[in-house]
Amino acid sequence: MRKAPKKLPARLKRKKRYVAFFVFTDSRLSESDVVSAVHHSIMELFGETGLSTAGFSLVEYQNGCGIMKCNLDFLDKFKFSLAFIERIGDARVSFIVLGVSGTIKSARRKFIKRFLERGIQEKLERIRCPR
Amino acid sequence: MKRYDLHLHSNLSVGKNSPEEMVRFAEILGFRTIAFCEHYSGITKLKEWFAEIEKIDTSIDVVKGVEIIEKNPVALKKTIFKVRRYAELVCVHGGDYTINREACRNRMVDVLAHPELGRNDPGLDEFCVRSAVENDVLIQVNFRLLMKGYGKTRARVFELVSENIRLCNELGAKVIISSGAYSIWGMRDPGSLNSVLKILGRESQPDINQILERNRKKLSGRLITDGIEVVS
Repeated sequence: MRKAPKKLPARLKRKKRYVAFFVFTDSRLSESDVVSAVHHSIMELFGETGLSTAGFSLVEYQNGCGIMKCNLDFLDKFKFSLAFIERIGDARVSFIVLGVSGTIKSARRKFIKRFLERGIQEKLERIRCPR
Repeated sequence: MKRYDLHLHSNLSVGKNSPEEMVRFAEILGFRTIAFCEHYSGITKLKEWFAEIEKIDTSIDVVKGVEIIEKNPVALKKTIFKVRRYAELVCVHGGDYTINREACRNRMVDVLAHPELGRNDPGLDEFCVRSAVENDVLIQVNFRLLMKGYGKTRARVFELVSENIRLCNELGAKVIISSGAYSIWGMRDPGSLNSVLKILGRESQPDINQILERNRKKLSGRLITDGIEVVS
């Protein structure tokens, strides 16, 4: 007797997307800061039902760059929620969406890798950040 | 996806970052066109700002715009007439109904910014939107204003903006979204801005190259009026 439901075939699974992002901020942020800020923003803008349909989770996060997962039908709302985050605690933040992809592998290859190769972090350091 | 932001402020007027810093940040965000719309305070200043903006070495198209803030339609008309000879993009600070109406009626205006600002109604009616369609005036959604407030206040702003967008969709007016940023913290990437507009009821932004090209031709004297052009 099975103890858990059988894995769904690909055609019946909910379609998801991976959003590659960069957090431009004036202080250091941990993984949990980012997750709670996104949760809070979705909750504030779309409520509990919105959050339940978002299917949001943080896949990876390192040095300001990361990948988040969300359901395909929530993608625009997800980007909308990211755009409305302007502060995490005392830190000023701006979420920059680098791109959206169907797999983690291609999100890494197409967006994160390219972003790091372009030397953007060095360029950002040269821009003055007013309070 | 259209990659432009036609409403930015730098420290030349009310902003906090220099135009160069804003341009560098816009390059990182992936914009192809940005416009500085500083608050108008005289022709001399305007020329100084434009000279400053021209110095920036960049791969993206930087438009020299101006935002006009006037209290009555007569003054607005006069100011538009004055600045049109210098600015590539004329943006009118909306909010007052008479100003919104005049901006939509005036062929020299390119953008009407935030018509719902400080109002309890959307600030646009059928006449305004029909005039905007006729005179090719873009109706602008300002992201900075959407960020303001919390809870009920923000929901009210969303409601007014959505109502304006619905009316523009019905009558065929062009709607754009701009960050209206005062510093780099207010700037958002083109994808996020487009998503905000989509959620508020508009699928995509129009192409603005034609408008910018027409304005630049007029400033250089190559275009005399619509349809009459100096070709050699």
